[in-house]
Amino acid sequence: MKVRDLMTKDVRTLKTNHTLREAAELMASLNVGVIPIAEEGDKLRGILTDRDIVVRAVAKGVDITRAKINDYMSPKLVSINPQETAAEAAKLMAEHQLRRLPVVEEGQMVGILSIGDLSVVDIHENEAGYALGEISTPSRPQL
Amino acid sequence: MKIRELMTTDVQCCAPDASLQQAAQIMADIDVGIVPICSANDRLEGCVTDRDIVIRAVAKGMDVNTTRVGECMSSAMVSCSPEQTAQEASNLMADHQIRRLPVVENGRLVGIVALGDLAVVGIHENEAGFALSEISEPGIH
Repeated sequence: MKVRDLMTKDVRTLKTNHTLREAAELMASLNVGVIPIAEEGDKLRGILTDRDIVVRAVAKGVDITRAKINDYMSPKLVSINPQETAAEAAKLMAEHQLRRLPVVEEGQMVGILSIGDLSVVDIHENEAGYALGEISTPSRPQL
Repeated sequence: MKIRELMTTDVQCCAPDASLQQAAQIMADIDVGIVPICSANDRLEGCVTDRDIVIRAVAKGMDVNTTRVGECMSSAMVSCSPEQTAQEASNLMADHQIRRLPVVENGRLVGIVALGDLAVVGIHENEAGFALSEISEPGIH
């Protein structure tokens, strides 16, 4: 199955000159942890996660009502074409340890694909490389 | 296997009157998403997650340097005892959809156990109920 058939369309985005507070408000109201950052014409510029806000801005004590998304987002990011297959998407997620991929066609953001969207084609979280992905230093069994 | 043998005992926690900036600094420094909040004598008062900071403080425009972590923490929280088994901890994590549990003995925080710590006894992420936890609301991003 193609990414186009699995992705979520009509994704809310923000612009690089919105503030971190505005990004957090949108995360709260949509109950999401990641917001794609786009410019005019839906050209994808980067992505901002709740964790980026905490680690890159709150930890440094910045004024989140003035700080611009531009300075805290991840600008270089992995994306996928809507014509790619679900298996290709799972491979990318595993390689880069991501749970969500922006879907980009000719520079325009057309959707977002989350790891859960792949479950309909029997690709589950652990198989995409996440089984223990959140554990920083897994213990080793003593054999 | 008992939680006592699996938990991490060297836990960084915050006092309730620490600022959000200080809690976030700990999250950044040791690469975690949750920090236990302890008052005097390691008494566990609650926990704060990176998401709590974003939703409860940043979204409301609070000053992260003056807002106290005690105002944003979750105080009603799940914990386990060091005498409980790995299986019991795994059940708690699955029931509450959390990946880390504070370990409390006589009201004092004595450690933290992460889902990954349970891997040595053959409990893996999906078995603890996490495999599909992110698809509860498909289509919402």
